[in-house]
Amino acid sequence: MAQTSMSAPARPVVLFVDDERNILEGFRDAFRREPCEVITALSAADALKLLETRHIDVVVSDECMPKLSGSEFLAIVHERYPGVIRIMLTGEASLSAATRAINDGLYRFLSKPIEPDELRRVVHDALRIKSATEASVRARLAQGI
Amino acid sequence: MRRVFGVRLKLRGKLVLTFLAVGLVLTSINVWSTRWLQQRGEIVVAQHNETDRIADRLAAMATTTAEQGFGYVLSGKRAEKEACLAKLEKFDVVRRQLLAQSDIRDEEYAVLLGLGQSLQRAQVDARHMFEVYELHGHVDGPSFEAYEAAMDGLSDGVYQLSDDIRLRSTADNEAARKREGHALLAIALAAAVLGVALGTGIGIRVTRPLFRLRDAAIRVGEGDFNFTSEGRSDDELDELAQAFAEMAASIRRLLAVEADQKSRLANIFASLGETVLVCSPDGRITAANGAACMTLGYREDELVGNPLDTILGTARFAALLTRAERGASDGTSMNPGQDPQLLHKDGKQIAVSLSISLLRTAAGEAAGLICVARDLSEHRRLEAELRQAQKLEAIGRLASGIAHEINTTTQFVSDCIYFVRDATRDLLSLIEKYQAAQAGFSSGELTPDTLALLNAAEQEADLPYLVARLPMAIERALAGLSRITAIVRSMKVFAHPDQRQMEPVDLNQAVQSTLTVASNEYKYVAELETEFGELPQVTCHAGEINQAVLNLVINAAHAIADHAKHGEKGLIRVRTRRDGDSAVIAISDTGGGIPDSIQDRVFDPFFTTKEVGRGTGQGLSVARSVIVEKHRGQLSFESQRGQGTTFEIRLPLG
Repeated sequence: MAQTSMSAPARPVVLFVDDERNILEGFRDAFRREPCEVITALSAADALKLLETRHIDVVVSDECMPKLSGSEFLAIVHERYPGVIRIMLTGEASLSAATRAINDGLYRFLSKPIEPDELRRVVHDALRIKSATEASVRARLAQGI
Repeated sequence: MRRVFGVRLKLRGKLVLTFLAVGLVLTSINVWSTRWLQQRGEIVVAQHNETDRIADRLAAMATTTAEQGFGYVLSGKRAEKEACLAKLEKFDVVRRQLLAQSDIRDEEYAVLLGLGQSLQRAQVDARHMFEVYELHGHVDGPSFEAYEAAMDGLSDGVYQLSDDIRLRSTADNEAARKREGHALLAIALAAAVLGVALGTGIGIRVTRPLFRLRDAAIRVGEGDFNFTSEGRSDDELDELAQAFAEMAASIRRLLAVEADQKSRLANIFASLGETVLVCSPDGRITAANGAACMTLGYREDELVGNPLDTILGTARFAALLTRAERGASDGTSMNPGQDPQLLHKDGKQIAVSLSISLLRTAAGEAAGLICVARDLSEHRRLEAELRQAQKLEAIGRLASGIAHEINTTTQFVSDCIYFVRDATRDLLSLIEKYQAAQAGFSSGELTPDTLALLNAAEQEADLPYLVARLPMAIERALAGLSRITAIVRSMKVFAHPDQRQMEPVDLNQAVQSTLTVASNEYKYVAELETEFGELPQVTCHAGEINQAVLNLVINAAHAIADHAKHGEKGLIRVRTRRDGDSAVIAISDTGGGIPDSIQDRVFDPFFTTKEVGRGTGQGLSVARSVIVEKHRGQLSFESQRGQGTTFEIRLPLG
């Protein structure tokens, strides 16, 4: 576990998007000990509002949602916030949605139900890649300067 | 006979010429024979006249002789006596003349001979009388009487002869007339024979082509149309023969065309896949095609001639005829009633769709009935298969939705349980620490460090979070489990195992179950509003009604998805109510409505406006089949462009 980052002032932020509140509550409980901040949104529209207002590192989204679907939402995220790592977590996705999501550079495509350990590991890996990427970018920028 | 003096003659000309010739011949025969008869008649008359004249002269001589002789006696003149004798002499001369006549007959001849004797006696008696007179100066009685007797005999003979000759003359005349008559008769006969011979000859020549025509006509009547004109002359008969030959050729061609058509029609009739039976007006089958024999299990000769009623299961011929006649007035064929049935030879009933129409003659008179029946067994079987396939399609579609629903619920239920497990572990380790503290408290080893240790342990366990969240997690888990239970129960109600018999069903519960299992189909595009009215139990096949409702709900969801602006939800309203003897289920959507142009096709099997993978065009077709055909209900819709559509299912109660 990344014990060191726990005390860091800026904890990475993970956004869970699902139209089922019970799911979001479950994830909150599952990530209560993780070294990251968990925020949730009940719809893609709410999630986009959150993305506008604050920094988010990883987005985990359901596919089947009213109005904007998960794959549509993640496509927008990819376009507007290319640095955000995107994970799809769906109960039953159509092949076309999965194909589109993967073609858009999705990090992981996960199926419900998923065990909390597995989900935590995936999110943890995503965060490590994110920080490593950002570190190398910073290093390159530093070398460039 | 073709040309006379180089002139081409028509039949009329030939006949005129022929009759002219016959007339001329007969006229000349007549003229000639008349003349001949006239000549003969004159000769005979002349001969008779001569004989008569001699006889008359004889008679006159006899009279005057007798008178002169008598006068002499009275007057005593000598001269008169001489004259009397001379007359007698002369008389004899005339008599001999008469004897010399060629046509004198035997009896006349005898009379003339007798007359000669009478004359001789008269001469003797006259001389004697004269001698007596001269001797005695008077006539004595006996000599006068002898003279008178001799004169009388002479006179009688003369008159007899005269009469005979006159009679004979008359008889001769009559014989001559008779002969003349015979001759005329013979001439007439000869003329008639000549006329007949001429007429026959000409008649045979004229009628020979007519006979040929007659024979040809008989052959044509017997069906042999191989007649050709020989064309030997150019008259009317020849034209007639040519016309007749053309007519025969035309008939031959027409017959060939007709035979061809007949054969084509027979082929078409035989190859029709549908059962076709043709009936006479009294209800007997007059024709049946191969499909009819196949469907009904009879041979053709077993069907033809038998009453149609023997193979009619439900309807009767008389009723069909009446319907057809009624239908014929507007020129349409009739479909008599629902589900007519035919009877197979082995007694099995065959469901058919029956179309009947009147058979008409060319003149438009009714000549029977045409029944066209389509065997619906295969149709019914395919319908059942289609329903089954559509049910599988629906279940497949639902399965993915239900899987999603169960997966989602399982996700948070398992999250909760994992949370409870972890929290329990934390709480148990905290309790261990409390128990250790409690033991220390008992042994009096409790130090302020112990309290700090417990505080740290509580923090480690995140106790306030657990206190706040554990009950919620357990509630969520229970809610999730009951949701899964509800879904599974609804699935069971929805999928209602196929029963053979209809059963009383709580329609509201059935509809609710359907909406539950189908929720994944609409919940992302529409809100659901339900309004369940009071309904008695409805006897039906619940599984099939559910399938129909599901199809309508899925259509409603699709209609809304197609119409709603992106990111907006529509409304599906499901209401049930009782309307008199019917239970009504109404399913409304706020979609775009059904375009007028396709409203009459939406119930057609495989008609769809949806892209591949979203629908196969069987939903409404199956819904209608289930509701209308299996439940004798009604399925109707009202649609307004841009406003939405309401489908209404009506099921009969009881």
